[in-house]
Amino acid sequence: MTENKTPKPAASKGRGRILKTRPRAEAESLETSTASTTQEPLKTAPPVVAKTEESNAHPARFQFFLIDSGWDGAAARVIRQNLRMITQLQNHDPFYVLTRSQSNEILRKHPHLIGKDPILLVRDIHGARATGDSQYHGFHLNLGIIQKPEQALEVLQTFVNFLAVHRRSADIDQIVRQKLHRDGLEGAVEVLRGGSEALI
Amino acid sequence: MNQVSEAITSVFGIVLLAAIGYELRRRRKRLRELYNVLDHDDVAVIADLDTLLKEGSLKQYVPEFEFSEVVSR
Repeated sequence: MTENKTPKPAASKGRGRILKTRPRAEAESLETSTASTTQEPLKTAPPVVAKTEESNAHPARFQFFLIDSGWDGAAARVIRQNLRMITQLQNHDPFYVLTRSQSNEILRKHPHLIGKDPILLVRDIHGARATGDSQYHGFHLNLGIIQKPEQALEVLQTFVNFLAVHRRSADIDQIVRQKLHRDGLEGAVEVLRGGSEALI
Repeated sequence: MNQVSEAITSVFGIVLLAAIGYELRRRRKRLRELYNVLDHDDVAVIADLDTLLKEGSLKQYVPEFEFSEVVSR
């Protein structure tokens, strides 16, 4: 009897679907901007950007901050379940999730935000750089004012869609006013026609 | 009689326009609450977030894992 065994190719070892883990960014690895410290820190502080592995391929346009004090609401559940989608669809721009204590501290200091969280605050890094002015640029989605989960998801999707579509726009603040706030005559018609946002 | 009907029509027209204007304003206000552009009220909030970042106490969210595509040599 002759054994007819053929040796398995070594290459098959590396084939197939693998579970690739990505290194979690350490707090120590945060690269603080070395740009000049300013006389008016409230107005002119440059955005602090963490270096990510994707940053070389796609320069970050936005910085995301999630302020979530822990309300057990439909909107909070929706955003917690879809964090991954948001980061992936935004080219892995820096996304910072505040802990409950950090969120509560922010809300205590700024009580006008209470009841509006979870808040997805988007800082437009490019806006400050492009205009060179001293103001912060960006906007926030106050998801906490939405009561129904399906509406919360729809609003979140609209917001993510908007950011993805307009991420190369020079003045995104203006586009927010036009497209999301429905300013102007055209916007008025849209509002009266009853877009999805008008159902809120 | 004609004058009365014209007056009633005018009143209804004005009420209708006012209602549309009110509704438009209400919905726009709601949209501004929802999608809020950073303004003077938010400057201090951003400054606090920057402080947290500089202190290193904010952690960047990274998904735990992701499936890679099939690797072939």
